[in-house]
Amino acid sequence: MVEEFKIIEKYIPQLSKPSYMLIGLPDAGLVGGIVSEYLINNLQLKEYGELYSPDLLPPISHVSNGQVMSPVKLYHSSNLIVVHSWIALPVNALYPLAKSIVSYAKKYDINTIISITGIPVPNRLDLQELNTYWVTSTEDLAEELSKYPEIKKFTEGYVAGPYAPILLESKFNGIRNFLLVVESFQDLPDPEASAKALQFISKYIGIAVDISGLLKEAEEIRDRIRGLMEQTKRQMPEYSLGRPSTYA
Amino acid sequence: MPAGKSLHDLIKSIIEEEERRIRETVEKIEEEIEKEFADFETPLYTVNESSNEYDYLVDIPYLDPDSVHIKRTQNLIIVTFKNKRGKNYLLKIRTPVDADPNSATFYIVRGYVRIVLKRK
Repeated sequence: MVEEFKIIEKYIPQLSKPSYMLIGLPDAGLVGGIVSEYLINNLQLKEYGELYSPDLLPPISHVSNGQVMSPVKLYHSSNLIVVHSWIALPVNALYPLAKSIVSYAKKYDINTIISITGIPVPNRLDLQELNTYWVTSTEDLAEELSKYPEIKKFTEGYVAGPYAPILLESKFNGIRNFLLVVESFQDLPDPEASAKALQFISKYIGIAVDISGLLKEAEEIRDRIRGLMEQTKRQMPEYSLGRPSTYA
Repeated sequence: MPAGKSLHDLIKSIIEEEERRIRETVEKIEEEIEKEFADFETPLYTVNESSNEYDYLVDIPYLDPDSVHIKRTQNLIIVTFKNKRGKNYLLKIRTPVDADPNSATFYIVRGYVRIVLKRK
């Protein structure tokens, strides 16, 4: 029997409809994690819960304001839950985490789970415009996303890493989940790719976010999350047996 | 019957001896570097290979562009950097066997340091 994560909540958030759950887990370019951290700070999301598993998480705790906490936390606004991990996750934690996230989304009747990742491209630094792709768990969501000209369908290939089991688990539970895939660095933090993702997410959810602020803070972000990138870089080959996290 | 070394064995032992000597020299240089640059951090970097070159991209937030120094030896390329917050960084690149160490050049592109090493 696979161990799942325990979810410990300080209180039950009241969400208006449509409601969203955004997942920020470290992988290629830390693209998703940078977006979720920026939203937590920029929208002043309320921290209300933690995901915990003594069997699946490494022995690392997050310390905030002198208090020890799980490194995987839950935040919310009026219609958005953010799941954010402050550490790179071991490969054996990914399926149990996906199961826990999807069943939690079901419990709260979340309309759409949103995941964000990077697709490593070797000439990333030369690119002025970053292509963005989507992969979905359901046909209706695919149809919906096809209407946005700024993002393209990720037609054929593979997704490896923390977002792959979330997509599959969503699909088999009939939950709407899309993965936004932005061209990025593989093992350098990429705030520019995150800004590109955030531009679409803010439009999709209908939230006002200062994207220029993220670009202004890019250097500070790269400096601050260097350690997390190092951790993630060591973990990533485990996710994909040597292949990039997302590849076509 | 006395058995002498064949030409093949002789060449093989010369090559092995030469490889051992190079390995020891590189290790000695690396030890000296470790001592000299003990308080330097290793920066985040990524490598892209093409048919013509090795392309190292180094991420030093708040880079002081005047601080980049590159030292080329036969087997090791040593690059030092500083950022504007006073942090020192050191990147040691073991020269790939098919690369020309003398070709190592660096550029600063959009705040990143790009080190290009041509293949022979």
